[in-house]
Amino acid sequence: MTRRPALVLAATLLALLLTACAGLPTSGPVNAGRPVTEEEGDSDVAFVPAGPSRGATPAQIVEGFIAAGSGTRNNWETAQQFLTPDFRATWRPQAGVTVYRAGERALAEPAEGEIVLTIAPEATVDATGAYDVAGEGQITIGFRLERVRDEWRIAEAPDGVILDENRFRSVFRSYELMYFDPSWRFLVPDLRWFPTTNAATRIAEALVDGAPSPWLAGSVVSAFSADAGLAQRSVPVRSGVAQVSLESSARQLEPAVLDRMQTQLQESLAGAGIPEVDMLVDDQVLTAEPVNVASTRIDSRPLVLTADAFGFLSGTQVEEILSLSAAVRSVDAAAIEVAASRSMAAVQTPTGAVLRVETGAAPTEIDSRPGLVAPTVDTLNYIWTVPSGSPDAVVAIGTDGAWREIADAWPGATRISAMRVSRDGARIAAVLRVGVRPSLWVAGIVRDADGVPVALGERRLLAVLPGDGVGLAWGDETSLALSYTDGGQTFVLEQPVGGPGTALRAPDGITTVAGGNQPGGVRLRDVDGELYVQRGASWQDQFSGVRVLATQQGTPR
Amino acid sequence: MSPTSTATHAVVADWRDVRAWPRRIALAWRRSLRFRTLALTLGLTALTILVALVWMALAIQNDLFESRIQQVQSAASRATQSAQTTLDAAVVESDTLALQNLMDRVRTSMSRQAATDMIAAFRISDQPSSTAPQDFEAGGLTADMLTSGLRQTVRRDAGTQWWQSIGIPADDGGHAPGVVIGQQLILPEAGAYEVYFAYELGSEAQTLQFVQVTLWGVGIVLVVLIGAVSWFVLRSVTVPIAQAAETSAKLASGDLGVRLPVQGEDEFATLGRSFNAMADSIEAQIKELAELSLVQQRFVSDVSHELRTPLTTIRLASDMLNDQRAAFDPTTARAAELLHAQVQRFETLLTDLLEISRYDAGSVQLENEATSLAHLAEDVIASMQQLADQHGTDVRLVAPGGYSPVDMDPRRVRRIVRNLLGNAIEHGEGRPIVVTVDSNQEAVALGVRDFGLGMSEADAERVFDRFWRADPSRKRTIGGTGLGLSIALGDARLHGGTLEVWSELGRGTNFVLTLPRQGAGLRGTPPIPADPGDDGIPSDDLGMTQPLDLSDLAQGGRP
Repeated sequence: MTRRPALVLAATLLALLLTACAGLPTSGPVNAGRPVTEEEGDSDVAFVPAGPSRGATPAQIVEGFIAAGSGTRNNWETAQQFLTPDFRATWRPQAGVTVYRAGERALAEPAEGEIVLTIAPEATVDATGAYDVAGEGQITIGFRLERVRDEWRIAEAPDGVILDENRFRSVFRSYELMYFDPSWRFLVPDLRWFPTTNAATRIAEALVDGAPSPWLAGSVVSAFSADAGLAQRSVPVRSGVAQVSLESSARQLEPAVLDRMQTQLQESLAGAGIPEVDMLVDDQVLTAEPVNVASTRIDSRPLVLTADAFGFLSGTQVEEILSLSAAVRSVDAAAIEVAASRSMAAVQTPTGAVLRVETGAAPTEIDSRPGLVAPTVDTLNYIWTVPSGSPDAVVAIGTDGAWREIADAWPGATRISAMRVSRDGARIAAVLRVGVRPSLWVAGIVRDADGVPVALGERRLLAVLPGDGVGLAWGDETSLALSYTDGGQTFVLEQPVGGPGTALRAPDGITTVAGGNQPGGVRLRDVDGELYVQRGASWQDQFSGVRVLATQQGTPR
Repeated sequence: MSPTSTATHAVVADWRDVRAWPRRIALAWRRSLRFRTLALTLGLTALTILVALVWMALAIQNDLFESRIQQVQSAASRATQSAQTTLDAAVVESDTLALQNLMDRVRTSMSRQAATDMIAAFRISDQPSSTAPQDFEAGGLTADMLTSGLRQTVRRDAGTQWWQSIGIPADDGGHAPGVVIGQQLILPEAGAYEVYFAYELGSEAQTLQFVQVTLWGVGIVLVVLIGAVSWFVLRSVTVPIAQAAETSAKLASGDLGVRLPVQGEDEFATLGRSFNAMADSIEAQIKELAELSLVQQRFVSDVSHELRTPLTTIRLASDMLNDQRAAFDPTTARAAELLHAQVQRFETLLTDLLEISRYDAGSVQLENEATSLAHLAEDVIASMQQLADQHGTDVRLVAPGGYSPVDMDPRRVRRIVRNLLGNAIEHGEGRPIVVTVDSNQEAVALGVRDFGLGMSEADAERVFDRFWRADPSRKRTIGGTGLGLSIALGDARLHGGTLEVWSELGRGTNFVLTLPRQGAGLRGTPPIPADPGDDGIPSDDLGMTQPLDLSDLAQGGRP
């Protein structure tokens, strides 16, 4: 009775003993470990276009190829499926985007295996993401197709993808690359268009390894140099912190440079919804604090001159600016721009002369050339004037009264109807007539070492206007607002500096436009002295009796 | 020391003979309480400790292994997840160099985060790709260390990590325990890769070994200590028990003087005191009885002696009266004759009593001389011939052996034979009596067989009792005192021999005297069995109808 269980027990014990003495295993079954958890990626919409279907005609292949331009995944993986294997290796989808107006597209097949696409381009986006408005007219794009295993595939096509404007705005988004003005005081945005997927990587790459847009090149500086390149073309975002890996030479950079780099990255990536940035070298965080940059915000209240007061309009009261208001009121003003310090204003009288109005000093007439456009003030209190008839005669008049002639400012322009310096003092926008059509242009301001403006950089077309522009003002840092008339109707155009603008119907008789801190903060004044503010898609009459709607260039420090 | 320990020592002395071990152990197990208890204690303790140690060793090993597995899983998971995040965020745009650079950095980063150098990655898809980075093996982890089962599982199931125990080649050519963790990593524009992280568990193995060695060391020391403690404790218990056993054995063998030493007041002291009291009591009673018996014997001896002197006088007087009885009137003459006969019988009785009392007192000495039992029997038969003739009994001697002289007291042996023969003649109913003498290597024997009435079994058992007679009414013709057989038995025992009786009603009686040669004690089969068996002579046929055909026996008995 007792013997058998004892034997079993002994055998079990022996087995256990042997197991126990065997130590850790050197082989064993395959075991399931932890489930692979995906870190939450970006929640942007990613389009998944369809690949080529079996037996598709050349036209269908080209149509599918164009539609697949929205699928940015894996370097336009889907679009590549429409190509022959040979062409796949040479086609560069990232070379650029041709944006065309939706609906204005025609396909023709002049010969078998050849497709000609005719579109009305709206803009092109180059490899750096810069958005260039296209001129009028249509362009044709040729495709050559070959049979690959009895299926048509594209053997020849231009680099880059082709998207209609609506899809472009879903697949691409504009991001601001932040550069410094040469004084390292202001951040100057450079608007670029990137696919929304992995935006952080694209932004960081463009900022760190790229260069400012050519038109800005002489007007901005970047803390990034060749010493601090991206170590990998990937900027993962972990818990809201973008991790930008830099080459190890970045360790040798001075703290001030690192701080500026940090500032640029942080501000640039903030546009992609990433609140924090770490600069890493070999997975170690570089310590850097963002530097203080001068704000370009303005008072959100409209600055108006009424019959008896000059100041900020709060409700129905006009809150005067200490000291400056009296000085402004002492002159007869038709256009006013107040400098960021609020101790100086450029005032144009109804006769067209431009005065410098300063606190504690008598207004001085600085320019009395005929036909001057409304004057504009930059960050160093230079007052920029130009006669509307001679766009090349741009003059920046310093506080000492000396004229700095900006030679060859707007070449090719026959007329200038408005000109405004941006609040960061690095860019200048103008409504010009080049040829027959009025258009909106922007250019960088090139300054010497003392900050004295010496020239304008390469000018850049932002928009072609259907009618003559009347008022022009900087909205926020990346957009301009101006009014124009088209076919007897008045529109207000909000135009980003590098991107498609949006026009909005406005009350007739607009004379002045003043910007806000964000799109939609635009104020208008009509000939009757009514002040309008934007309320969604309509305009609300906010105040009457406004003689002059002044523009602001910032707030005092 | 006690007999037990002596036995143990004897066992130990022969331990060198390995083949004898099982028998020795079995012997020790049966005989030695201490060995059995010690063996049981040690065995059960060792078993308990073994179970505990195995359990502990297993628990520790399991915990060590599990915790390390969890740790490396977590590390590998973290590393892969981080790498995947980096890869997901990459913008490669078909730049082979950039992708390769990214892969290199991801590998370095994974190695750092997973805390292992042994990393390998293999592209799952076999479709040619110009951009896909090459597979790599780093830190000594090679593809042939991975089982195909693991690789297939990793390729098939991307949703989970997979791990497997592997042996990592060590410097000495052996394999160190290790674990490999595999999962998938998706590269942009290149597809999925299997990534493996290998970890060596050398330090865990060392820890485990240390723990195990410590455990077993502690276990062995524990068993030895418990054995020693048990030995000492058992010694304190078994030594008194062994003493008690030895003392009881001595007491049982008649040594009434032995006593247990008594120390302290514990249970053993109580046992010792009780035992000693019991031994005292037994000794006292036995002494008392012995003294009583001595007094009785002395009394009988004294009475016999005291009676002898007056009896001698009475006998002389009765002899004189008997000699002159012719001068008396017939009545007086008859009285004198009776007196003479009874006095003679009285004297014989007294002689027998004295002889018996001498046996009882143990004061009998043998006067041995070499004697041939056959010749002695012949003499006795001749001397009893007259009595036999009176009863008409034919006495025959059958002696196949027994002629060689054997040391014996001839006077006493003769008395025995005479007594037996006398009884046979008296109870033989006139039928022949056969006297058999025979011998073997150990003994000589003499049997006296009559074919008389015989006795019942109960009577036969009492035949040697003093003053006992089978039939009280039976007439004594040769003046037996009732002590003859008792004396004969005493004489036989004095020689170291036996006197046995066989009797059956209607078949007669057989007495067999067996005497050892050289006084060496009796062993083996006696020369003549007491039970004659079926000798083929029915009692009814004896003597009455035809002469007994025993001539051959008689002739054999008389060479």
